[in-house]
Amino acid sequence: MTAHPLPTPSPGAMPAMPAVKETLWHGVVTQNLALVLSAAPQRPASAPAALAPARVRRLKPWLGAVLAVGLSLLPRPTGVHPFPTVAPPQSSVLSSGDLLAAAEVTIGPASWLAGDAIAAFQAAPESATSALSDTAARSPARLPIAALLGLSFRTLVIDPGHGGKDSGAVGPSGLREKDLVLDIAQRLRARLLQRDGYRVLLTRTQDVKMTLKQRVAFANAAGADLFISLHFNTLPQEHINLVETYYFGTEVDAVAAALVAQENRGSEFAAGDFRRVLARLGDTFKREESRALAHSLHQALLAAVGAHDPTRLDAGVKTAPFMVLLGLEAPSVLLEISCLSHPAEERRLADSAYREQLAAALERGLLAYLAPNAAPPVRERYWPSHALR
Amino acid sequence: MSVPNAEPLYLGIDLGTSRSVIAASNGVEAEVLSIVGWPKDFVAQRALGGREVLFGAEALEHRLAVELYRPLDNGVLRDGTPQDQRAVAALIAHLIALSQPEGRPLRVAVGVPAECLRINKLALRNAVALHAEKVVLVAEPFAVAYGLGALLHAIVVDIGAGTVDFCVMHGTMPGERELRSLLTAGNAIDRQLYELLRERIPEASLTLEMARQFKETYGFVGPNDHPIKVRLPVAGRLVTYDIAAELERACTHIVPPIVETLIDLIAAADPEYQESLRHNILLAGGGSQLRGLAAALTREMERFEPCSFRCVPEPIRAGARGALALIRDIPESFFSQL
Repeated sequence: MTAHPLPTPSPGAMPAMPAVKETLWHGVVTQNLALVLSAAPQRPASAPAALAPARVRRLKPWLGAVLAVGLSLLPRPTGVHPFPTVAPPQSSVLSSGDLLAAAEVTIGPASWLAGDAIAAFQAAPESATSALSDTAARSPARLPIAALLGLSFRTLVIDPGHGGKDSGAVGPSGLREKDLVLDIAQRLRARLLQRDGYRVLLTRTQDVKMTLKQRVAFANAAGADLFISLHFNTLPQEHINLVETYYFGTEVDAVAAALVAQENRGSEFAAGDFRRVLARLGDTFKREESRALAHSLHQALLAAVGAHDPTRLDAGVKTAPFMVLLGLEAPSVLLEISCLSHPAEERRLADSAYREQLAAALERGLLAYLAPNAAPPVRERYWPSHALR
Repeated sequence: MSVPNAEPLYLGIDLGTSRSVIAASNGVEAEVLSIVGWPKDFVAQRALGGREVLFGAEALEHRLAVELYRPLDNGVLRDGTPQDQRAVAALIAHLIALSQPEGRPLRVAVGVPAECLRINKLALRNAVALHAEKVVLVAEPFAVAYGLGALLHAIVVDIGAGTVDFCVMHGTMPGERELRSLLTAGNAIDRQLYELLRERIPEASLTLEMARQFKETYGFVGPNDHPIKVRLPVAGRLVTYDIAAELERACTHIVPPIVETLIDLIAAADPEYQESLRHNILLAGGGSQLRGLAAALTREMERFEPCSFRCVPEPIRAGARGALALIRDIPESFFSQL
């Protein structure tokens, strides 16, 4: 990869570099001071009893209730670790004999590339959350957490991707993704509003650009129970048409983690213990519900697109921490409905009747998920076994 | 008898999920896989020459004789169990030892993921503070920007194994609006490639580590008109397979999240400087070495607005070098506050 010289700002228009650097030094030290001071032990307050209720009041009521129920429902952590969890020796103090000489340590060409035999290397899941999903995939039909906790889904937010200056994908004859997803979202909303009990909102109802943050803020402010982001795919291989669906990946809620850390200071529990519990509970709910929703919508779209294009490929359901899914508190999915780059698919999408069929499929998929006896999700699949080219 | 050197030694550390790098003011630089291994039993320890702990490639080479730990996940301490804490403490001690401190007081700057939680920052800080007189933590992409002098109207995208970190520089300390972290990074590519190959070649004996090797050796994004052949063990024999399609699919899937994040960051920036930002996007980290990535990002961003991407020189070491440059530049008077 060629390294290009970095552009130098014109001195007249920009602040002098030494002044900029001094600003940055101040900033670094200030931030680190704040970090150190925030970790300092709390001095006894004049009215410590008054502090505790205030902290408790900041905890969202629903979070406390969910914690109480969820702690009793959570499975024991599997303690999955990429490598066997034998505790290392107590002493980890290095002796001079343990130290390597300063050297660049790199991996040489793997022996299998050179044709030698390979020693088995345990290929365990990278994280406990991955292990959780593997377990769920192998286990019989699960009871949805939402059903267990008696949670209902009333506010549905549909997010037509792109908009305004951001056209998204553009098909061979000029159809734009932003227009198609808005049309389908409006059709889906119209269908859902005919059913009782749902409040259906669109992140945008016009051809306007919305940032990802604005979409997330809209959904969270609206109290979204579900979030569905609509997109169309585009591939350099025009002969390929496929359906793929993403749902929320793994994350830790920063607000909850920080709040729990405060709550647990001085208790017998380490902040890490509660953080893991909270993370697992929140992760489990959002992840599992997002996964179930993703599968239900994906199957419905596969059938709808496949009814017109038997050659369409199933790219499967995957996890992905897309920014638009990352900040949402509700179960959320991102759908790549089909490939706009596929000429025949684009021609079908130009037909309003086909778009109505896609909206109907999304409605079916959504209702199948929302129904109490929804079928358990199938295992995620990736590319089929035949080559792409 | 020689007098001990009382002059501080400045260190910049990049603790990565896959690799950790240290750059020292005495000119020493070292790069180690973020792996720690303890001998399984006394027989293994004897076979390893009596050593109590191994690091990096050596630990991996002797993986059958040691209990391996990767103490970092997504750039921060994994789960915070006692074993992980011991492993990261040992890794940090090893890195510092590689810098040949010779008893000098240490002043260390450590790069952390852009959206690192306070809890994780404290854990890392405490682990480093056992060895150092002064410790500062900085966002990793900010360290890269500082080291390159890209302090005005630039975006740094640091593509690591655990995270892809973004930092928008406007001549001030980047705040929450200017820092982002994505979890779809190098490890996600490895997992994707592993799953794709397992789906297509279920009879082959395949591991995640092999998938990582394929990615690092052959990984690419964008068009490719020649096969990429590797030999995989199938029932004890080696069989040749063309894995170009799976490689492309796996490596490409980090592009959409990066593009979406860049669009969001640019859109949130001051409109007078958005054009400057678009043409000053720097790619760093091991993932930036994926063949064709810069061109693919340029193509994808063109649908939004034309952008220019550049790969920084020696991208794996840019973070540690930037952290070193920062800790060396901070005046002595500032240190008294820490």
